[in-house]
Amino acid sequence: MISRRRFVQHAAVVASLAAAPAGGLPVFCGASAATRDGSAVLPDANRLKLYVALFDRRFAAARLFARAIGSHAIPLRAIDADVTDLWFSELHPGWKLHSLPVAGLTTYGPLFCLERLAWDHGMRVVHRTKHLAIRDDAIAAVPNTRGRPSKRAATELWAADAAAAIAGFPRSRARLAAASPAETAFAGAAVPVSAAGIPVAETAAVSASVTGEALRPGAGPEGALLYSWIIAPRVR
Amino acid sequence: MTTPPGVSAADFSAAIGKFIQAVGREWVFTSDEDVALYRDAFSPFQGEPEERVASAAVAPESVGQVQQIVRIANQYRIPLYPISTGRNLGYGGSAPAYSGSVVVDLKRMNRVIEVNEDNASALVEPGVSYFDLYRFIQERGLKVWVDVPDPGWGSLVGNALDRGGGYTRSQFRNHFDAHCGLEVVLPDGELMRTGMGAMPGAKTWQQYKSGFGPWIDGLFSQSNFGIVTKMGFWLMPEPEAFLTGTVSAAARDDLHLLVKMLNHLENGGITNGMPDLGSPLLGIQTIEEYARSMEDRPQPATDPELLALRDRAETGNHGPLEDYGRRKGLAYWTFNLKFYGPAKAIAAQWEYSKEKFSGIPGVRFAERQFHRLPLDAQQRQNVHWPEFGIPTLNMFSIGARSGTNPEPTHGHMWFSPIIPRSAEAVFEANKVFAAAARQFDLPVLRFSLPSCYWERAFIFIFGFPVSADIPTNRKNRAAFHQLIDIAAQHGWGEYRTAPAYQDAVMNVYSFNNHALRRFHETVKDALDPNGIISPGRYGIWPKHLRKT
Repeated sequence: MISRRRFVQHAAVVASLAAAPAGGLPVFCGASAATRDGSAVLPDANRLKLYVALFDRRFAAARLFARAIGSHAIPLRAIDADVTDLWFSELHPGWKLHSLPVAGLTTYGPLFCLERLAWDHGMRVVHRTKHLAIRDDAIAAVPNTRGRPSKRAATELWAADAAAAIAGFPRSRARLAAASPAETAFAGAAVPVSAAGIPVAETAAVSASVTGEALRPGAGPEGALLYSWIIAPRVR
Repeated sequence: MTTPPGVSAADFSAAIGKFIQAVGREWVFTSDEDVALYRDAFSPFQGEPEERVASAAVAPESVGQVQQIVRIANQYRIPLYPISTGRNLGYGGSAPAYSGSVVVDLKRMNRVIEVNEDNASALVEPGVSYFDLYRFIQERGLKVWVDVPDPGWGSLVGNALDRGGGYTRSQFRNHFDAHCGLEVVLPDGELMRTGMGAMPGAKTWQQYKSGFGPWIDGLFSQSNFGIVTKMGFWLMPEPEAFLTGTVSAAARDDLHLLVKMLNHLENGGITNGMPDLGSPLLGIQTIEEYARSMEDRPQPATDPELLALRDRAETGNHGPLEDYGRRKGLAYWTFNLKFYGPAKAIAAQWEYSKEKFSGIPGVRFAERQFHRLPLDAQQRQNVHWPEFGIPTLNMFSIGARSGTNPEPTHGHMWFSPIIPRSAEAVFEANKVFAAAARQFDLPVLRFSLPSCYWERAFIFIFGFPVSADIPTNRKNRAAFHQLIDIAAQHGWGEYRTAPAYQDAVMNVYSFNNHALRRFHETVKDALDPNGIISPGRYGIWPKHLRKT
């Protein structure tokens, strides 16, 4: 039991600890024709056409994700934790006119809000994957030793994969998706964490029910749970 | 597809067919996937059969369609559960109070019918959210504010009918008090307007509240006597300026005079914004503090001496903590007084307020914020938007899972007792609720300060976590019930609660052998003999479902 003011206060402190300086975002142009693992790339006509992709620029992992998804020629929108301004100025007016598919890599709060707001416009979350992000300095400080990729390099590979999963999401799968709003509030569901502490994609599909082991203390104090997601029109 | 209790599959199917005829197939939802959207995201019954769930949902777009739905429901005895937007998370969300009800989702009825700048009033449908009305006002450059709750994604009508609150001037913070006129579809499908709206052609529906004869608007708040389809509100004229003045005091017992003076100033209309209480020594931030930028926000105390002294203060030894505060320049209490109005006037009101507090030994004053309005983009960065009539979703962005917050809850239920506006009550309530937390093995409840949403009374709002763990939820539900009773034993009652606890809360409003509940039931039986509107909502059950 905690008072509402302490509840908000505690949450704000948590957010401040997770915050990292926002940096500029170099956006690569020119589409990548192949996935990193060499698997086949869907023709453009078969991919879900995304209106924009959001990213939380407080997180280095999200900025890398944005750079990677920018290379797929998807317009980007940056947020600082809170989605209110973007929702009010762009998404809500847009959604009132058209069911515009939107993707993102954010913490759970913006996804929680946008998922529920999207329901009113006939849209659903059709893709939801969890990742563990670490802070900028932690990523940058780890040297590349013993031939293993540095954490930054590993994160870039992860970002490329996460972006490819979004950019190449099949339109046909969005039509079939039936994501249940199983997750409830403030990212309460548990998530497995890689021993290396780098961002790890837990699932590659719509997560209808989220269970798993708890965030381990070994993940370090900087660990923050991020979600990559797609919201798209629901075809009944 | 779930069938409402006591309704045959054939009748339910026939009713669904008629709902489809009334509103169109596209707006009747019966698939599990669609109906699941109406689950309470913060239900304390997650994973248990007791979770209250809908059987279907229907989304009308007009008053006429609402009337048709009600008449069909009467024919087949289908329980309905109207929602405006269903976003009152922590108080039940969009899930029905009675499992198997058909949710009547009013989100499509989202027309802003009128905003009258000269009268500073609005008339809206239930699907209009605070964002919608704010957008309407901004796009037209109107000089009026809407008082918003936090978060602001819900419906004006829904929040007011649930008697929610906001953050601006006192006469607008109580959202039901700020309403002016209702339109209601009664349980038999009849359409009624209250106040001046009862007179055909009246020009003053949103100007004069009570009309003629008994003023019955309150019957439609926290109740199940009809479906409100239009609601008028008084809006706040945009003030010229805003000022926050901080009063700081060094001793624990100063709280008595602080509250007494605050009440005097607020009841007299001298300070007209929402008072905002904090304690630097105890680590309780004010709203003004947590709305600051990350860099400017007070950080949690790390001084081991202070942390130890706080623990001692919790056991009743306050002197050493007060001494520490004097040495370090930390106040025991800070009261932020808020003023809206002309710059010259609010400066004078603040000066007068300082005079009234000056009898407290060692009291200090600081002018914390002064803004000419409207706010510019830079000013917006460091203020609590709802205090300026700006809706926000920011609250959802600050509770994310992280290494320092590895087990965020799956949600919360608000336990919200109203207590007297006195320091004695604050101290007593802290003692009582801390003891209860220990007794029921709840997370430790450190000293808390109440909020001042309403005039004349304090309110404590405690969040009970909702977990994925069923035994934990059971334990917390049992504790919640115990706290309702413990609060009632001290004369404190909840202002609002989730459906899971509405019977229990109604049960403690028991003067004269539950005369109030019996009155509700008499009204219910007269207006809604088939018991189709929101059975069980706020503890009001129709005769056929009433427990003897």
